[in-house]
Amino acid sequence: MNCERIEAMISGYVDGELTQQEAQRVRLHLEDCAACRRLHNELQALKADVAALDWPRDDAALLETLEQDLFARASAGIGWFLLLLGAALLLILGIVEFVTAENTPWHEKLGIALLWLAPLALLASVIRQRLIAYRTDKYRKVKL
Amino acid sequence: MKDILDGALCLARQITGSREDSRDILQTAMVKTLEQRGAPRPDEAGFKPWFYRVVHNQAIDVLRARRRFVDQAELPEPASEAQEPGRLLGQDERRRLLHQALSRLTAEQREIICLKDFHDFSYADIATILAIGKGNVMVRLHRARQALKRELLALGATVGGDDEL
Repeated sequence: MNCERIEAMISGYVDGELTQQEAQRVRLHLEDCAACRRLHNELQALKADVAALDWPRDDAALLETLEQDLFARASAGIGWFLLLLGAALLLILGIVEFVTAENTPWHEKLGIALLWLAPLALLASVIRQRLIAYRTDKYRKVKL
Repeated sequence: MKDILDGALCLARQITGSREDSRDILQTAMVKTLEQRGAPRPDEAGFKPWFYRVVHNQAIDVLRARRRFVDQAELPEPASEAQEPGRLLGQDERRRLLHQALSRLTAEQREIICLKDFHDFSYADIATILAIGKGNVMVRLHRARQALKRELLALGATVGGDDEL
């Protein structure tokens, strides 16, 4: 194998990312070729030097805040989910009991159902309008 | 989790060379991660490369917006003139020159070197972060290391390695 073909593989060899067969081919070439052996040693030294570099890390407070924010948001999400689940269960149970109640006349049931449905329809309408307004708001990313 | 955030912040700084930009990038990446449906959870194995990819994309956006692909990384100290070739250098001096040589590379070259040699990602993870093929990682990394070697030599530093295997 010539040096040109093996050159990029030397980086893979230094990183331990070659297959066993490829690594064997590189190893045999390095034993015979002084120029590639020098390159291998240079890359190995560079790798070790970069690994040992110090990069400024003075953002401990920021990381603390971000981590707390992450957990706060995650727990808030779980809280909302549980709240909605509980409300949905109660609502379903209430509807079932209301519909199956035998001692309430049908016209009373109809009146109560309409009283409940009216605000729910109004709420759905407001939510829909808010969603449309949010999606079409060009300035929603502007922070004041 | 803190280690991942710390490493990601460091990567953003290595790419952009700016402390302020890297803080903004990390905060934006966090928000995107929280908003993204289907994103891996922080305790899953694939989270780290996934999060670094978000940081990488965000950093590239910042560089594009500011039109400074060839930027100067923040150095611990300002660089002095080139050293006499072949001179034996102390550890501190060698580190300073290495920082300087890295800062002379393009953001892409610096990033791939840091991802492998500093953050110790595998080629498969680097391919995920940079959204390129695994075979491409080896070629790009090799070119970047050769560029780093050239910069170090231009600064008068020696690049180690005896003739022994």
